Amino acid sequence: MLDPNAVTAAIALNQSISAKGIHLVALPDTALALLVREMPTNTINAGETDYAAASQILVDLSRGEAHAEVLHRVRSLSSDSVRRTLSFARNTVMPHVYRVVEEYTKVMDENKNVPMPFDIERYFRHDAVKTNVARDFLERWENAPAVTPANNLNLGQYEPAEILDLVKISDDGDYNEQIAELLNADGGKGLNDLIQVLKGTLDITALDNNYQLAAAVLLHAISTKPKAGVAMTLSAYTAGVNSMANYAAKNALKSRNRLENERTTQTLYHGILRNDVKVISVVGEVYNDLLEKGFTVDMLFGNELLGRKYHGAELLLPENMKHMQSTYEFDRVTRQEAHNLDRQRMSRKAILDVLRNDQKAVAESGEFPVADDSADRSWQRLKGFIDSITSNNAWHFYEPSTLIAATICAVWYAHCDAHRIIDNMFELEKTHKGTPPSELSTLASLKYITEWTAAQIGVGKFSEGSVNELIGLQA
Amino acid sequence: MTPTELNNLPIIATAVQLISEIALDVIGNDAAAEIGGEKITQSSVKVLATASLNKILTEKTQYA
Repeated sequence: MLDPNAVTAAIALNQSISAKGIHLVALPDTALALLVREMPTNTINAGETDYAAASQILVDLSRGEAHAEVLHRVRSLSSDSVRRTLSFARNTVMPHVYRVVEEYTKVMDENKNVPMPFDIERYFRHDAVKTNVARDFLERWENAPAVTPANNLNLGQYEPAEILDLVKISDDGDYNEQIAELLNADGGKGLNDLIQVLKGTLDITALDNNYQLAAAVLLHAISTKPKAGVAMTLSAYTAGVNSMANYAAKNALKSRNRLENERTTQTLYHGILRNDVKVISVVGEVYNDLLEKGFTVDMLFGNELLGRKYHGAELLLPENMKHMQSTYEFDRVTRQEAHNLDRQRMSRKAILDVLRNDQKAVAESGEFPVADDSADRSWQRLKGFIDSITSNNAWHFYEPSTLIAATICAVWYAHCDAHRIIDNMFELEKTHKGTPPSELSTLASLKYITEWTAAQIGVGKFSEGSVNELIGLQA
Repeated sequence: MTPTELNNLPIIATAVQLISEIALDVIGNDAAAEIGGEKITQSSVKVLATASLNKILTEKTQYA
């Protein structure tokens, strides 16, 4: 039987559609047509009937067993079919789509931030270099003539513990502790580099400046005490080791003096300006001091973009700080725009990559959702779908996730209606921001059921005269 | 009531009933199925069905 509440709910919609002269038809051979057929309206005189009366007549007409039986059968068959589609969409298609969307999001998240224009490298004098014993040791070499250091000399195999013992200077506890800490840092990189220098596999000139002090002390300590098995005369050994010690000490001294000079003259930059600079080397102590006084990283970048226009006390003058800041801001906005364009390009590539990877993964697993499918056929479908997107229909894919969902449905699930539920989900997600996914799923299901029912209704525009004729009434 | 209204009424009313009954059958039994934080009922599903049908039929009739 027709539910009187359904008739009541239908009245406003019926009035608005009918007012436009729209004539509805239950399409032949549909569930809707079977039910409507049980309520023939050709015996009702429209002009003499109001809605209340018409509703009552329709309800009465549908009281028969035939209507009840058709309704029961239609409801049962339709519910089962819709339930199967919903279940397939929720349990198979949606997880597949979300897996690929997640891959895409991961790629895009990795490239979300605008890259910084420069890296900053801070140079500090190590505490060991600042000690009195280190200064005394290095100054002994200040006036010694420079010599070319020997290279590739195999001075024997040394163990880390031996190195730590040999780099000590007298009984100065502070220095000994600090030099050991420096050599042990970064997984013992300093110790390892020194062992390589002694074996002749790392040239002393290629040794990091941080370790040159330790190398000088070490080489000086072993200059008169060759290890057993060293294949050279004592004089050749001593001359070679001394030349290396001389180089290391002079280098350590030069490096220390430069940092000391930069610090006392409040020189911010360690090293000279180059056009292709990607790393700004700063004197750590000076830079930290400036930061405490209101200088910022943005200003450092701004000054670099200005070709290091400001130095020393100029860096803290308010108008200069403003100039550096605005220069950086302008550059940042420009880079942001370029980055956005890059991301658009990257987004297109990422979408294609994740879809291609998905197609490959499914093909390799051999578990095709479509019967008798193959890697080649699924690839052709993917290619065909992507190729079918033109500027005329691309508007439909307003978001990457929509495009991914549509493609996956077209490639793997075109044989069922699941794509319509997925489309609904994505569309509702856009218009119902903040709605929980379970509710979106319910709304999407309802929309799918409505679409399924509405597909059984044909629409046409007729004059009242032709309608009367159509439904068997006299005009 | 016009002949068009009379012709359309059983179609729309039956469609609303069909949508409501299938929706109740399919999603009404789902314990998690809620709209606006409320469990779906016979009357709420009819309101939703009518609104949803209205939207779809309006789109369909736009080009009729």
